[in-house]
Amino acid sequence: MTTTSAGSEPSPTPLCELVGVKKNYPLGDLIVHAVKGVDVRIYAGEFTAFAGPSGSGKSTLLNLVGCLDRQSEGQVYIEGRDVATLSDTELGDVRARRIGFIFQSFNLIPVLTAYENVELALRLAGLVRKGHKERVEEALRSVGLADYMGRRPAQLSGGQQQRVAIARALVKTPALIIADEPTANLDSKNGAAILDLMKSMNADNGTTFLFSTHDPMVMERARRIIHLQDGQITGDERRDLTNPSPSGASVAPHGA
Amino acid sequence: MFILTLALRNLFRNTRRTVITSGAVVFGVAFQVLGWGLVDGLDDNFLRAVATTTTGDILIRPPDFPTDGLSYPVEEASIPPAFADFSGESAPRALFTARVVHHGDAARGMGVAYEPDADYTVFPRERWRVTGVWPDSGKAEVALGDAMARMMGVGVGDQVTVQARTVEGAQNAMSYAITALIHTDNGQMDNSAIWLRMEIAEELLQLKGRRTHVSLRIGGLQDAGTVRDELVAAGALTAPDGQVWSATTTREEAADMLAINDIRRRAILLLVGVIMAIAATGIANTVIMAAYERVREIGTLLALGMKRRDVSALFLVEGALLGFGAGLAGAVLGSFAVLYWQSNGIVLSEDLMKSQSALPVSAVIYTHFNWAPVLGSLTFSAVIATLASVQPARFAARLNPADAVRAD
Repeated sequence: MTTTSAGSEPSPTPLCELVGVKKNYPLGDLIVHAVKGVDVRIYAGEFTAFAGPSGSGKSTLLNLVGCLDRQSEGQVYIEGRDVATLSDTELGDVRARRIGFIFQSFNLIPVLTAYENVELALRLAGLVRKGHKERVEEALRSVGLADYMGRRPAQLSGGQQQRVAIARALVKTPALIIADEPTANLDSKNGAAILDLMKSMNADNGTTFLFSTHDPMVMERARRIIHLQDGQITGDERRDLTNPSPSGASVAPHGA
Repeated sequence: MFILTLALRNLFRNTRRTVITSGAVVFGVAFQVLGWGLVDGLDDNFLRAVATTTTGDILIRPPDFPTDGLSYPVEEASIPPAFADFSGESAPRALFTARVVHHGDAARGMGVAYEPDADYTVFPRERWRVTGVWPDSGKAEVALGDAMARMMGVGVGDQVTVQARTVEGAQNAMSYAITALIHTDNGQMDNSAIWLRMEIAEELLQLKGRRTHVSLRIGGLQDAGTVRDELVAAGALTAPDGQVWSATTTREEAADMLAINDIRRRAILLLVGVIMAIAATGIANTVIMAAYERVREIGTLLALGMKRRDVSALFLVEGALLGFGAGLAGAVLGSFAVLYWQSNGIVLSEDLMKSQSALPVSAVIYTHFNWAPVLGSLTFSAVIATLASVQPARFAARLNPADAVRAD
């Protein structure tokens, strides 16, 4: 069985590659095998979701791709760099400059305004320089929050907070944006709006998004869905979203 | 700068907790500044009381004259050095142990034989309160310390007998009219001084030009110790009979009392240390609670690329700001109190003055503002608070971002 790609064709060099990756956690006297040998490539411009039930290893894989954690075995490459060879500080630099994060609980800094939260990403990436103000304002404008820049998170709705988080992830123009169940804390209307926003950014700017989710709304919009079960990939589905019929999707069992 | 801004805002996330935690530091620093100002004020009070009534800036005594300030053996009096080349003022005196008798009541006191013209130049009397008039030249008149007179129940116009030994050791007694009751800055003098003009004392004590003390007042901003050393080096302390008189500065004369105040300062430091230790526990508790409450936020900062050392610095700066801010509040409070009482003085109660009337201090204590305890306690509180934040900062910096970003 072959994998059929839909939408934009992936570029030949993967943005991110996992080779034989395993992740084990100690839990008391036990070892929990959260990820059991995963091989996967994520290409620039993709809009991909890791899908699966709780405990399937979605978030663990996002942690590894996002350089938030280190694998127990195997290799993780980000833009061709083996993260195992990077120090903690270098990993921090990769996160600061190349990866944007969107979290389920928004994770804004409550004492900072929307503007400052977005600016924070530039600051930590070392990108606070001439013209950064316009860049922050443009990021907030692009998510529809031009009039809310001076508000703190507590003064914003959940949907608005997630938009700030998206602006924060986008502002440094990272290679990859990782979104960990971004709609889980939003109602369906706000969830759909947020997803459509990210989708349009993917379509318009080619921003690469990688989700973890079990939200049908996300899966409806994802062009690639990697199915996970018990720490292993059980399917890699590429979908042609221009064709809404089920035949527009093809599923490849992992290893195919 | 960003870390400072973030730390400052974090401090005001839970204002009530911050204020409560700051309380102990505010109290400790205010206590130190005020306590120090009070003890420095006591030093000033004591030095002023002694300098303006008994010693001047430098006190010269015959070689064998006791320095304990409790006994005044006029037998040790001798002809003093001339101080011809001394540029300041000098006031020779003869101090002697005497008894004042009035209608069968007697009180022991310290006779002060003085040369009015010279005495005024060394001991400015603007602050003294004189009830009556100073004894007149050549008349059998005496002035008494007002507390002594009150104790004996005598007043201006009463006749008293003063008994004393002469320089040769013979007992002598003469009758004088009280013309004035004297209140100085020195409670000890007010309680015991029997003021006699020198020409009257010459007759009572058979002094023949001999004196027990010479008080010097130096001009300008010269250091008394330096002037004393110059006088010694120049041989100015050698009397006509060849005896070399001893010289002590006011500060040396007051050394015992100042040493007691140093003990008070150490006691204040010890107490402040205990208060600060308690405050440090509170600060450590507050900062560690902040770290536990903000695990997800710390994880977010780490995920966004903040360096672990910057996360650590954030919590250290929060602790330091808490300590510095509270210290500043305490320093301002303490300084205001010190400056207020520096201008207005603390009037000791009558009861307290009665119990301390033998002490050479005035009834009004003026506190003394000093930058050293202010800056010292500010630094101390900031350092203590920073040290108290080390453990929470290490906890925060060591968090695993993958776990921390999803913490509840």
